[in-house]
Amino acid sequence: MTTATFPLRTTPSLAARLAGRVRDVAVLTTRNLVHIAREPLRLSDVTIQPILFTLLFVYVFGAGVSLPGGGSYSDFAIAGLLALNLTTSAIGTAVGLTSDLATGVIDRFRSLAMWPAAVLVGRSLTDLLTAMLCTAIVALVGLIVGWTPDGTPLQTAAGFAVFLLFGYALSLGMRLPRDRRQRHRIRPEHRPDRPIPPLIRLQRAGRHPAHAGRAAHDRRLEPRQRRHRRQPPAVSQPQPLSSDPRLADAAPGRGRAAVVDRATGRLRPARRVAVQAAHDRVARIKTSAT
Amino acid sequence: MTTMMIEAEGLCKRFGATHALDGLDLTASAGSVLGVLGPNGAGKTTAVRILTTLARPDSGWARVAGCDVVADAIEVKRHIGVAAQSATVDEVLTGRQNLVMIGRLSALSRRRARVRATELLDRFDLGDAADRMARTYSGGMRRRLDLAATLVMRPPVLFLDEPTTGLDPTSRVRMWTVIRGLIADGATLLLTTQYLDEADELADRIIVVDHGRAIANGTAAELKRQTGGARLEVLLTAPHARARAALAPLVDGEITIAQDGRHVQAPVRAAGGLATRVVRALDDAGIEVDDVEVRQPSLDDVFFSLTGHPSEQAPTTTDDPELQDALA
Repeated sequence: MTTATFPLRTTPSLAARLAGRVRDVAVLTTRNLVHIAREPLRLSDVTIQPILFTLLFVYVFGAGVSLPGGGSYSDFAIAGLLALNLTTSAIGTAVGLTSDLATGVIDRFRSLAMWPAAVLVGRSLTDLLTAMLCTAIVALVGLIVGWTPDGTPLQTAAGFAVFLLFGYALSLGMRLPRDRRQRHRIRPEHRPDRPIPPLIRLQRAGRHPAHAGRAAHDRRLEPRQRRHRRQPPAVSQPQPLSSDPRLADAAPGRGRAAVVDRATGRLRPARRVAVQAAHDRVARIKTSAT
Repeated sequence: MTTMMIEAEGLCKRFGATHALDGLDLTASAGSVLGVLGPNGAGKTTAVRILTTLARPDSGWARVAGCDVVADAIEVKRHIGVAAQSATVDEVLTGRQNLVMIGRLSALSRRRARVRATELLDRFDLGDAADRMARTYSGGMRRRLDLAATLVMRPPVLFLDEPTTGLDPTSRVRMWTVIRGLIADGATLLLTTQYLDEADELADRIIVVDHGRAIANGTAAELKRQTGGARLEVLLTAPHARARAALAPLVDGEITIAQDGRHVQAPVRAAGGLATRVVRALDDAGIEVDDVEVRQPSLDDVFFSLTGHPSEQAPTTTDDPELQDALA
């Protein structure tokens, strides 16, 4: 006979809770930094790419550019390159969280009594750090190729801060919807609400002997039924004429219609849309003749 | 009175038109081991995810260590350790870094987290690999690291979701030893599995799940009684007229001999030395034997006797034919 021996509930003070959150964020940020240290190539989009792009845009493309009002091309180029590199690196950092979801590490975090938001906050802090690295590299390469900041150091720093804010917002915004979509794919119990698309379903039906009957039934469907059930057309299924965009009424606006279905490449396109289904058209011609 | 560490009643969870759980009830008393047995898609993992606060039930309630899994999720998390089906370790970190990180996130101090990590690494034979990236670990090592990660805080309730699926027989037996150690420490354990022998080996009570609900509940012995006992299968070198008479005193029911006269089958009551006695009896009668096997009831047999259908065809409960096909 055992008695209940649950540990006492503790309600930590606000300060203790805040300290706990800071610790969780610090631990997870450190973890992300260890990842980067182990796989430095992941950083190529904020290290190698900015250098390549700067050289490319300043020397290869920039060589032929003359600014109409005078001024330095590289002054404009560096700002644009900063925006460009931060944008592409935002896509890259989203990969980190997605791979966490795929390996299930997130589930491990979620089963711990930690601050749940720490995962996201830690990730975005890491993103901010990489964005700072990216900014530094672009600025450095810029100085080498002849860019000189016009404002005071403080103004320049403020300009960079705007770019960092831009990169931070972009990586955060890019990540959130992505997570929701990815989650459906990673675990069998996160089945999508919509069934698996019909194309895949048909392929499976073909492979699995148990579905032979159903597959045969699917093959007998009329094109219209297929479309209704959102199934792709069967192989070499005849399409209704109206859906062929090349089948043009060669002489719109005349009393009689001429239906052309050959050598359409040599015809000039009709102003109006193609004719309706051929049998329909023929029927109308007949009635107008009588 | 006995404290219930895990209680759930009427758990339902659906994904689209699929009823992953359809009114599942289960209980496990403190210090006991509950085996949740079922085929793929029976709802085992969903049940574990709800009990470990990773998913919310659509209806029904569950309490773990006396705390409601929805209303009091944080408190539940303080009392549980979860080892998910796929080992959820950070592959880029080393084994030690993984454990220290879990300890830090569970509010241990840096020093205590390190001490605890070393303890666990030694306990799970990972000491030599402690400073290698988890990516380089074998499947069995990864599972052990995952299990170590669930034990960092010495939780009183443990959830192990198919801890040996996909492991080779040696790693599997090793894992069993590890789990037996946890049981000896007095933890309450919920263990899901597809294998009857595993549940038999480790669990005090077994609950068989199919289509998201419990279809049988009892000790391993009780379930086996329901399933019927073991079967004896003998392959004779050549058909022999006296085979039936020679085996009759050893078996526990009707002897069936296949068309070819060589394959002999009969239900038996498993007992020590049975195979020896079978061979001896046949040898005394001058019958040559190629192969003797005493087969224990398998999960398929349990399923067959409980549900009337083999486990492979189990998973769907949907009426939508499109979805049924898609899930198959």
